[in-house]
Amino acid sequence: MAGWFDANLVSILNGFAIGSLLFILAVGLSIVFGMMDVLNLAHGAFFLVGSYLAVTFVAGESWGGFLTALGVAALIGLLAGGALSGMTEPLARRPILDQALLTLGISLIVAEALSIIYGNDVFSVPEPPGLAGSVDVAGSSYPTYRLMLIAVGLLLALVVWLVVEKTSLGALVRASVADREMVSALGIDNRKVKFAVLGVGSLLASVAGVLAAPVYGARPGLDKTILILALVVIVIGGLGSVRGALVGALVIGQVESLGRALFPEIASFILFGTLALVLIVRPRGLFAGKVAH
Amino acid sequence: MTVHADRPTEPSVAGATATHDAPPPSRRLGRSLPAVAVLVLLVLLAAVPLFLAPFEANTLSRILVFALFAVSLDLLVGITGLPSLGHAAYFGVGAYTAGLVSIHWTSEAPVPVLLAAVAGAVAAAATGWLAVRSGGVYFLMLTLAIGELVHQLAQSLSDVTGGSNGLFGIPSVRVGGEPLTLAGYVYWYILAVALLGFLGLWLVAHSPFGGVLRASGTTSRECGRWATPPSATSSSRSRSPAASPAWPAACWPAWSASSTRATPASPPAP
Repeated sequence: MAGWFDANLVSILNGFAIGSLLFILAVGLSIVFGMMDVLNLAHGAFFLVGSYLAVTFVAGESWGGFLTALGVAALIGLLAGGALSGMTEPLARRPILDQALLTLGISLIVAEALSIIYGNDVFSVPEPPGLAGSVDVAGSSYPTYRLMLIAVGLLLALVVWLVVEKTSLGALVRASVADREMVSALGIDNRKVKFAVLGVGSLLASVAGVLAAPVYGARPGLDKTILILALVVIVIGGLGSVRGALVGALVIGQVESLGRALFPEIASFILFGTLALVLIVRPRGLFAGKVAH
Repeated sequence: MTVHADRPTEPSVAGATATHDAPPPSRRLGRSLPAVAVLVLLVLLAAVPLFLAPFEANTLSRILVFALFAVSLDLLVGITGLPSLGHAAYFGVGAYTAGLVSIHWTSEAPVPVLLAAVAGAVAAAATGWLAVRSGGVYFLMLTLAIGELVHQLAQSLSDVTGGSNGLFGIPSVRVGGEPLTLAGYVYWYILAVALLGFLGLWLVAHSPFGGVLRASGTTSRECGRWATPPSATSSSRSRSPAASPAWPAACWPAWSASSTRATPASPPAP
């Protein structure tokens, strides 16, 4: 067992790095849906915008470029999320499919615009200075940047958890997930809460794009791949739950990484198999909250 | 569904609830008008290759393929109320099956279409079995994931599918041993298959089974989007509608035989 662990340490650490990224992505998606029934399929496109911003500001050359990319991505994500919130407002009473089609259409437009601007080439982004090397972890060398990614992911998870569980703002969000009508009956404007949560969720998505750029690069089609992984995470974790998103992200990170390392031929099927298993055993996800819809 | 807007040949799917009442005698003339319109349209469609250039005939063939695809999606989304975003997966299964059958075995007329329909039905039964366990938005996400998985599969199985380059050299479809190389003949072939497809979907939508589909769609909408659909009806209902997109897809290689290839990217997102 210990030998197996040593041999696959790199894959396991990779799994944590992927899991961290997926959590940053999925938590916004999950809360927005849990609160407002808005399934934001443009989430993956926002992620890709972040990745291409990292390319634009040559994030790897200097810390200045990296931080500029992060800042611009955060701003764009926030604005895009706000705009999306406004666009979904007229569809609030319509079936879920209508909103999903709207956001899917937006994601297709964004992806097409990106491929017009940047072409169809695959870009790779180097790590920021000082994080480009690798360090020794229990005898195997591992890229420093990915260790930092794990740390950032866990830190963000802690921050999100604290905000959602311990602050009055978080209480508002949790209350909106549990019973939207009641919250609005108490005199709180649902649209403002939705605007804020969708904005922050999209911000997290585009920031995750910048953070992921040194690992995944930037290429057309990445948005779809990432969106599917995030959807699988929230299906497994249950919608509207921070804890579910974290556990789901870590599980899918390991499945994705170990699956690709141990059974490269059938990696996609292992992912899908995990999803199938969770759906059969717990159709609403592992940590689905009590949702009063 | 918006699907009907440009499909005058299928007014019945949209106005299905109205056609159940017996028409009063005074309205009989009004009722026969759509039938005349459909007849005129059919004649026009059939006459297209006689007065249009090959390029236009090719474009119309493509329109017919996607029209059938859209109508088949309507059976799933509009009538049964299952919001699927993975419909293109079965289109792809059908296209690859028809293409592979044509390359490796025979392109004799009904064989690729029928085998594509069977393959589409098998794929839909396998994935639908899982998808119908969820409801509402989970169904939407699952079908999106299934579509993406099939897309990745088509790209990774490059020995069979040609990967991202797609299938090369799909032979023209043959009718009675004679390959259809002229655009007009291919158009007629696709028109015939598409009309059969429309007729089949119309019959299903108006059969008692179609009534069950419509009813299950309505009730689960009434009961709220979290209502879990009853497993027994839902697996049968996901099976048969999902088999249908493979049918138009089978025309796809026939249309594209001379000009392009069946690439994983050729069917649009849902």
